[in-house]
Amino acid sequence: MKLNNEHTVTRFVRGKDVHIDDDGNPVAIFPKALEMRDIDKGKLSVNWLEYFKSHPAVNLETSVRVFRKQFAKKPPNKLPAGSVFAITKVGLLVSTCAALGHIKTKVDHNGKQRDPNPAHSRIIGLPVNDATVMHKLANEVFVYFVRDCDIPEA
Amino acid sequence: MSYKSNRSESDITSHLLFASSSLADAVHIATGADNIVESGQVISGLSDATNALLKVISDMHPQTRSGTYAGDLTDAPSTKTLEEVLFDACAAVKVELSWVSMHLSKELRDRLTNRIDQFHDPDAWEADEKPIQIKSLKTFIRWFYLARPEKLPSFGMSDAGYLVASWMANQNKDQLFLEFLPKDKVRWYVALSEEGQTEYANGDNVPLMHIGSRLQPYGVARWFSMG
Repeated sequence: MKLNNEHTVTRFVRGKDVHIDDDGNPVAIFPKALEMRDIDKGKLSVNWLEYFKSHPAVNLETSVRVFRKQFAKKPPNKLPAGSVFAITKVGLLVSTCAALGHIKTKVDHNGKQRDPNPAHSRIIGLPVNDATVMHKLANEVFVYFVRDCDIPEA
Repeated sequence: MSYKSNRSESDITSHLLFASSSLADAVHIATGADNIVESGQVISGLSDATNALLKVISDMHPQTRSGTYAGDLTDAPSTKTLEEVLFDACAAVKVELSWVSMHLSKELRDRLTNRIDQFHDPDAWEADEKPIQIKSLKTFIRWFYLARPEKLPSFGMSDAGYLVASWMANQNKDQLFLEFLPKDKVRWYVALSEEGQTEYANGDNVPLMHIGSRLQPYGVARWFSMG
């Protein structure tokens, strides 16, 4: 299922790819946080918040908890300290990529009910590890953050 | 779980170093010549007494000179556990910083070591990551000693174990990232925002001595000055 412009997605970012201010608050992510690895097969993983069909804040908390649960199933089992979830709207993401010439960029929801993370979605149509795209997305698109440590266990 | 460490011995070495002379660490920073202290060789231009002191320091500093962690543990065959490897990496950072602590503020050292400790949590370590590379840290130290930014950076680390320092300005829209590579090379990236337009620039493998001039057109004062 293709997500629409009003939908919200998060991207998990490890602490070592996060710029923190003097008070320890995340204020930006490094472009490297948007790097695709071989296992990504050219699709960047994100989580779709509205999948959980509740209040936005509840959706966010649920999404983080589900992600943690999925992460715990294989090594290293635990999210690194300082990890954050970078948040953006699909519309901003798509329009930013389109402005860079990548007009086929879209976000697809997997839709597999057996998926341990049922909100898992993928950004499709991005050039693999293109420096300009990664910089632009880090600087202008994924600019809101929630820290993993701020979401309590259920 | 407990780990064998040379920390106390290194601390003693550090105290001796600082108590006796700042010359050795000034040489260490400015020249990048670890081998001067490493080998205990005589350096022309220094007094016999100073050379003797450097020899003593060299002999008393087994951890980073002939010890267990040379900054590239993952490249070397090792029987150590992951916990030991990561512990040693963090310890090596602290030892390296102790050598130059007179030239780096406590705030900077604390900020750096706190982040390094955070990045090396064995419970959250992924198989494709490398611990901090001491050669990268040395490049950072030398750069910091030369550039002396007033505003301290935030720290990150690449999967290759290279230290990344970052600064933000203009409501986090103006960004500067410096990734410190071995052998006094720096990878840099700048984002500058003006009137809704953002300009990006980057460079790779820039020699440490040239990074200042490469960044000059972007007005580094916006990141480095407290004002």
